[in-house]
Amino acid sequence: MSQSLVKALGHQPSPEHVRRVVEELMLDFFERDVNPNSMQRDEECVCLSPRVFEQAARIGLVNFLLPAEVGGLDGSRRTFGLLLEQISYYCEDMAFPSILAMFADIPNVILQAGRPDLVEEYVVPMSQGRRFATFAFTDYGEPLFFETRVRSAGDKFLLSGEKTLQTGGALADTFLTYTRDENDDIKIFLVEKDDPGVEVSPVPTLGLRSAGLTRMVLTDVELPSRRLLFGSDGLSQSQLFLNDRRLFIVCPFVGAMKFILERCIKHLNTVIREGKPLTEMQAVQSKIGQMAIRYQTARAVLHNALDRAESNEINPLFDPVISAAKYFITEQAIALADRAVRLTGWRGYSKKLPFERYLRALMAGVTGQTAQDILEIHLGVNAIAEIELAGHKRTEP
Amino acid sequence: MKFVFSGALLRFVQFEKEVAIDRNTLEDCLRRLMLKFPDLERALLDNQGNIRQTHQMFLNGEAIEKGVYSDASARQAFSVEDDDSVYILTAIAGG
Repeated sequence: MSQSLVKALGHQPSPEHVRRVVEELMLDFFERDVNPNSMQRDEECVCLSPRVFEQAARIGLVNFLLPAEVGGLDGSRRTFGLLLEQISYYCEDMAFPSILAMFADIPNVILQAGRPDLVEEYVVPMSQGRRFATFAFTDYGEPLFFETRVRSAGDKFLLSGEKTLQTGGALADTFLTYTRDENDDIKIFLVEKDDPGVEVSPVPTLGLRSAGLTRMVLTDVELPSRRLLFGSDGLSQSQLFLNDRRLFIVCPFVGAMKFILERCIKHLNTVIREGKPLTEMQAVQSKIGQMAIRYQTARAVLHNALDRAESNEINPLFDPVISAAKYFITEQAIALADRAVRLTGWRGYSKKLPFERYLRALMAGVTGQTAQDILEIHLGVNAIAEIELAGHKRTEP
Repeated sequence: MKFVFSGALLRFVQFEKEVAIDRNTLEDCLRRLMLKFPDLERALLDNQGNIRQTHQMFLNGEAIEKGVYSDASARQAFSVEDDDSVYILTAIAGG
């Protein structure tokens, strides 16, 4: 079935073509396996079922980004981003594309270690949806001062500390765990959920409550050396991963914006005031126009960033265009969902309409994949550096 | 030559934006710099002695290829002049 996805998408598909493919190949899946009980899962903080991701793997979504030699589809990051956008439009649980983006990309990090034993043990089963891995990076300390520590013990390693938030941790078997060693370098380990000394527990959150968000406590977890994925400069490896992740986190936001806008208009059409639907009143039309502007500009920014992700111009460690896109789209999406709540009054604030749930879910963008306030600083530093570097250039005599 | 700092590394050089060093190779300059600011070494280098990839270096405003400055032997072969500037740009973001 996954080959059907490749064939249907073709090479460098347009956004509209991707929309048609998602509608044709995935709508039944969403309506059968993802959309039912989405509100109940949110209310009860119940994670999506692993069967959903096993089915996603059969469609070709989990192995999309992997190379063919390990069972992947050799899909491009641009096309995957467009898929996430459209999936989010049709799928009523934003946790699904959020977890999917994580489960689809982590095997690539394992692959980068270049170890055949890890391909057999981890990458192939992950590409088939038989096991899942997530990113255990966030810590009480900032990256240069992680409080999660590792020390050598003969030919083994001992890990201790706490990783504070993982997406899809409730479903993950394996955690890519970033630890600080005796020299303050970052080592990355493959930690298994059932390793002695590992405790994974749910993290209650404002939104994305079905995303299986967890914290992981490590108490003298003893690991053999084969579980060491990267022995040095894990910090830079994390920055490479996060650069792409910033883009993938907001792809679903744009699909959600379209869903909210359309659902809001449909609802306002049914509300009659002065004998007319609200959509015929200019004050309401103006607000809907503002929402449409937010959606269209966010979409344009996203597609530009996705094109850049495929180009040679990208800075793989910290790309200012991709980071600015993450920042901008998050702000636009929250403002659009907020407007939907305002326009629809008590219904929008209640669970009669899905807008309050979407607004809470979109707030994840404020804190996830580098908090918005921190991104402002990094983007400012980058802009200043560009000017300073220009000042350091030598002029020809 | 002088080092110019930007971003997360500034705290490791006591927020001195520019630091002048009188040596002839990039490696000797870096060693001298890390002697002056001992906390810098662990932030700048990984445990192989290579400059972490997340630090980007520029010579007189032009990006330097990573292969030229990542390991100590390459840095030792990299000559610098009195009026050169080496700008180190660092962006370390959280998850």
